[in-house]
Amino acid sequence: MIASLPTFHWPLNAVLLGSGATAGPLEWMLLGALAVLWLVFGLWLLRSHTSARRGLTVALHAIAGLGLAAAALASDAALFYSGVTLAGYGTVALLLVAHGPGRARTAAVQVLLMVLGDLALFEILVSLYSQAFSVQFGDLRAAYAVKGQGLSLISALLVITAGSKVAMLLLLIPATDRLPSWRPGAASGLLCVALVSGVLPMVRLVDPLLSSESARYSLLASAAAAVFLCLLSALCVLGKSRLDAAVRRVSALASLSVATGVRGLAMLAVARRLAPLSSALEQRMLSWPFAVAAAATLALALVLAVAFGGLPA
Amino acid sequence: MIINPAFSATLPVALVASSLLPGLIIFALAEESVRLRTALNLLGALSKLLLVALMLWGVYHEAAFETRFELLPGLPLVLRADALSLLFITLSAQLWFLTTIYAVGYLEGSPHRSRFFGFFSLCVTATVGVAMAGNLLTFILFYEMLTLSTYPLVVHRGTAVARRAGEAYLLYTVLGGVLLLLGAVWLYTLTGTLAFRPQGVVGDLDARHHTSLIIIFVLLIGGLGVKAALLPLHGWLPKAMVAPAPVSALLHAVAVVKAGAFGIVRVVYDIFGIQFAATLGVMMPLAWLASATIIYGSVRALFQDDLKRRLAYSTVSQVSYIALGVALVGPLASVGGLVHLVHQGLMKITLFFCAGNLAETLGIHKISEMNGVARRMPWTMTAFTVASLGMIGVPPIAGFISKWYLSLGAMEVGADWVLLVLAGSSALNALYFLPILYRAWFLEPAGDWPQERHYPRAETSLALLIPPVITATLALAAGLLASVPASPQEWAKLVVLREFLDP
Amino acid sequence: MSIVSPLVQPVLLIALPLVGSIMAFLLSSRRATVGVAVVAGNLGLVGGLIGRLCATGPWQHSVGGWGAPLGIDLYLDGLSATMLAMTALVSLGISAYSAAYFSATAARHFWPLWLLLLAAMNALFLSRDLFNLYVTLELVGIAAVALTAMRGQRDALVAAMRYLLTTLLGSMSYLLGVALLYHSVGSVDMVLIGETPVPPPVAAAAFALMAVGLLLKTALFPFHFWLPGAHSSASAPVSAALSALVVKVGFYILLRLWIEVFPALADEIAGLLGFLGGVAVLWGSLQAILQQRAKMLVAYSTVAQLGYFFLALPLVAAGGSRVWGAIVLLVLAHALAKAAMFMAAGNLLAFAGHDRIRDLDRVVQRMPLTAAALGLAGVSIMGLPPSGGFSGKWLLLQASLEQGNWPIALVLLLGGVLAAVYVFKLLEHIFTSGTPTGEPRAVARTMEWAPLMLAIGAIALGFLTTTVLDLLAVGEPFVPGRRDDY
Repeated sequence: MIASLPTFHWPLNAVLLGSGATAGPLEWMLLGALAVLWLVFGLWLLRSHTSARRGLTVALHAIAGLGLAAAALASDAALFYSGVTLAGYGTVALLLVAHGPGRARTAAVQVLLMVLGDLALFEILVSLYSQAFSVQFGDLRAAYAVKGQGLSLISALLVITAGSKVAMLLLLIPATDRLPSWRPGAASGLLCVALVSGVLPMVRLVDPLLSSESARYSLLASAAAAVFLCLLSALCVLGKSRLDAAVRRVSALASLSVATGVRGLAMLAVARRLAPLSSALEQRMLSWPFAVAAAATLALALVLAVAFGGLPA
Repeated sequence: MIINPAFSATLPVALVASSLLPGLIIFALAEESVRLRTALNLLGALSKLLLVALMLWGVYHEAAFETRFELLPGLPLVLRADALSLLFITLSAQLWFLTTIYAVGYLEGSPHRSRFFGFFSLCVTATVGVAMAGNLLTFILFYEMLTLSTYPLVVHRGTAVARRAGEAYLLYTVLGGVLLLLGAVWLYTLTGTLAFRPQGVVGDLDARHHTSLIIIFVLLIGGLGVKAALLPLHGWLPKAMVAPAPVSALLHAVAVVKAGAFGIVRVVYDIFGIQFAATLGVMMPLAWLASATIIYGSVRALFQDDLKRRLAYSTVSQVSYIALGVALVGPLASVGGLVHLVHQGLMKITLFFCAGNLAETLGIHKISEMNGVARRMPWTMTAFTVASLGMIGVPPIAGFISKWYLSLGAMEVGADWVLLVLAGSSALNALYFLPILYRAWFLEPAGDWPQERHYPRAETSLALLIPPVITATLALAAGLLASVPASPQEWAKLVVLREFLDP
Repeated sequence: MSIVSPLVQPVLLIALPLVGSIMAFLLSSRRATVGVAVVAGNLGLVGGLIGRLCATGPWQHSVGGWGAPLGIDLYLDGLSATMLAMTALVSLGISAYSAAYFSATAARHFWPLWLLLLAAMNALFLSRDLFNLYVTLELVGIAAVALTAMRGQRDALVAAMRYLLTTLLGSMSYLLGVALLYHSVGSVDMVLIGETPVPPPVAAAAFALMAVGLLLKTALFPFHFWLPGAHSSASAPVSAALSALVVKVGFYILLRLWIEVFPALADEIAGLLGFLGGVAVLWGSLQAILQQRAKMLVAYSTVAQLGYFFLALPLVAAGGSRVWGAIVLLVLAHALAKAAMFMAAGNLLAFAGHDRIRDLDRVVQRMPLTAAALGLAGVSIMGLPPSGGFSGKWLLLQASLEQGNWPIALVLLLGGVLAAVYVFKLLEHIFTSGTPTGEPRAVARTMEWAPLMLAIGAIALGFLTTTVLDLLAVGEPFVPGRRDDY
């Protein structure tokens, strides 16, 4: 049955860096799973909160869903990356709307993890492109096979990408009292995001069927990274205030040094000190006897200089 | 395709005149003649758009447009339309049109509007002249005219604070002009020409002049770097935020900062030639300086509570992307830098328009006052969100394309540390933009707005609402449809092609 | 053209203003009309002369058919024509302004003296022998002093007295030099003296005396002590005339002497004069920045700008005509811009009753044309493009960098920065609010348009640079001995 599903390829040359959408058996399976999970998420959202922001909720849900679909169907890295980021931001926004400002700390940490993961994915894609000169996944996979063997920067980045997105999901499990849990309905939304932005890059870039050894090792490493990142985030949340204070002190120092430098540049301050002095001198010069004396001295000097051919030009 | 020679000589002048003449007439108008003034403004903006379209069509058909006038013995004033100038001019013309509409709405009922719009038009004239300058003398002429015509806009409000901001602005820009002049005259005595030619005019000089050329390069970049807000010459930019919002939008997206960055591109490509500049060894220090500015600007932006100041520091950071793209000697990086000229213009002007909307409609100037503002002004905040996400580098908004090319360019020349800088900048951008978005969308308003004004038809006056929505849409389109033949990306590729390969 | 050309005679340039001056003295009313008509006629004549100059080249005219040494010879070449044009243009602006500025009683004194000054300056620019130059120089000086004292108030009288004594001292020194040369050579003809070998001590002494006299009149640092008082306490149109035109005549004579009579000697002291010029630029600009009153600021700006002419003198030895051309361009640009600035400052004084800079409360809104005149004139003074000041500055920078003379280049640039500081000090208070004191009075339209037109002229000069330089080159005034070719 799976084999009888149609495969299509839809080129979108004008979009982004020249992209397209592909659907093969794997993509249809993924789409199916995503659709189910996303629907669950949507229903939970509609039920969970007041109707005050329903319009915003529906809009965000649609946009993020579109992002997921784009990521699932993309045949090139740029469209995939767009979908991943759209879905990520959209989902976090939806959760914030659903739960309100009380979960600000957790949301902040989740956003941080998401941004970290997005950055890592970006670096991976750039790195692979510079090897493959194409944004199509087939070429990028070949490039990964060359660059990402064993313990390399790219494989590390891939682990961080996957790990951070999975860590976002794991933050639902209360690690300490300070991280209150979110309701399970939210989990399905985050699971979508984790799937698409965490697992899918690995699948697309390393091995479509997860059959090789390196793929399995990467999967394990990502799980470990996820746990590590989760704990690290918890630490950050705990110690956020102390971190804030330290950074503020550095910035104050920087702005002070720049301001001093600029003030040194402004000659007006120096001039202001010299101003009364030079005004007094000028007043002296404007007085009659001084002027005549100076003029006479200079005239004499001129005459002598010219007469004796003394001055060098 | 042969174009009537008279036509090809007058079109550049007509472009300059299309904003100069309305400006001079507006100076003479009485304060109350609102309709006439608005009509003149819009007429000028539309005619400029039309002329730019004509010019684009002409250049696409291989026509050449050039105007020459003997200014000094042996040094003409040259206005020329080549691919690079068209990139900048198209951006300027479109954004001028939108900013005019915005300014009409923003300054409704304010005093001294004739004076404002007169100098506003002069400012655009100077920008167009900078874009079309065919040699360094013409560039300097219009560059200084830009300084002189933006000063009255900065001190428009006439308060003591405005006066001090104007003093700071002048201190920096006059010193920058002096450096630029010295560098240009020195260059002229060495080469006998100041013309902009692809791949440069100094490549044939003797090796004993190389030290002089390096010093000239430092002087020119120093003079241009003041307007382009390179570290440590950026101090005037946050102070100039005292000006009205349309002025900030114009200064930070189109005219002053971009003129400086554009000048750096011209000097590196068309005076020194990028390959020659690389052999001189000046490109790496420029890359370091640009990177330092990128990080510094973003770090300072983190700690600003005033919205416009945060955006000012963000501009300091973002405009150095262009310098960085130029300094990494490679075609991909150059495409990234050039395309960011357009993209950053679109995104930043949206942000400033939205900041102006908040100030004008609700009296909000600080970020701490912005809680829950999205419910009151959803369209404005949507435009703001799109633009800030673009700044962070979220695809499919335009900022992603610039970052992509810059990162690729960095890898192409082997400067992997630049990737760290760019990643750090994205992270810092996220750190200072996302909290604003969070406050606006997900928090409840603290109480009444500082100074609310109600408008009948929409959340704010239509003249204030439509421009940011249009520019946000353009920013999205520039990213999403980046591979369309007429997009900024494709145009930038054309420019770089002519620079790196012999035509 | 053939009907008009007999009218186009250099003599008429002297006769017309003289006749006008007498008429203005005799008439009891309509003085301003006569004055403006005469000045307009003067401008027309100068235009005609320039046309003839470009068509047929430089020429010489003996007044009344009596040639030298019995009669007076008038010579016209490119440099003279340029200076005459400068005088004519600025005079027209000043006359238009004065027509509205002076009351009937003041006009009784102003117009005769002003037209006399114009006649004297025209005569000076047309003369080419040393004694004629002395006579006209003296006339210019006395007319200028009388105009300065015209206001009658104490500060004006004190300043005029100081000016009178200084100018007489200068003229006497100059005359002494002429006498020495006459005694040695037997003639006062410049070209002849330049070609005759003069015993070195005599030449040196004569040159020193003449130079000191002219430097006193041109107010080079440190001989500038009389200028700020005189220029700022006179009435506005008189200040404009003094700063724009009268101080230039001394420099013109020095230029002619430099080229024709004492080329070798002059090159020796070029360095000293350049140094003094540099100090004048920096000191004058600094003093201008510190002033509290607008007219004093503009007067010190004159001190600074005059320094530029001397600053460039070390460059002429190697640079030749190009550098001289740049200096004359600066002279022209300064004349137009400074006249505009003084007239605009006069407007500020008439409007507010005072010219204290800090108390100028957003004048730009009520006198936009005056503010525009100050802005545009300031652009030329600062040397920003496009203006005559910028063209001159660029050419001098180019020459100094070509000759490797870094101190001059740096002073040129630094002078521009300091000029920007004092110009914008004036402008920023015009744009921003201060404390308004007293009731403002309306200012006549002509008084606002005249400085604006002159300021636009200074900017237009930037676009007409090559035309002016071509005109200057007619007759090769910067090459010694060319006068006898025509």
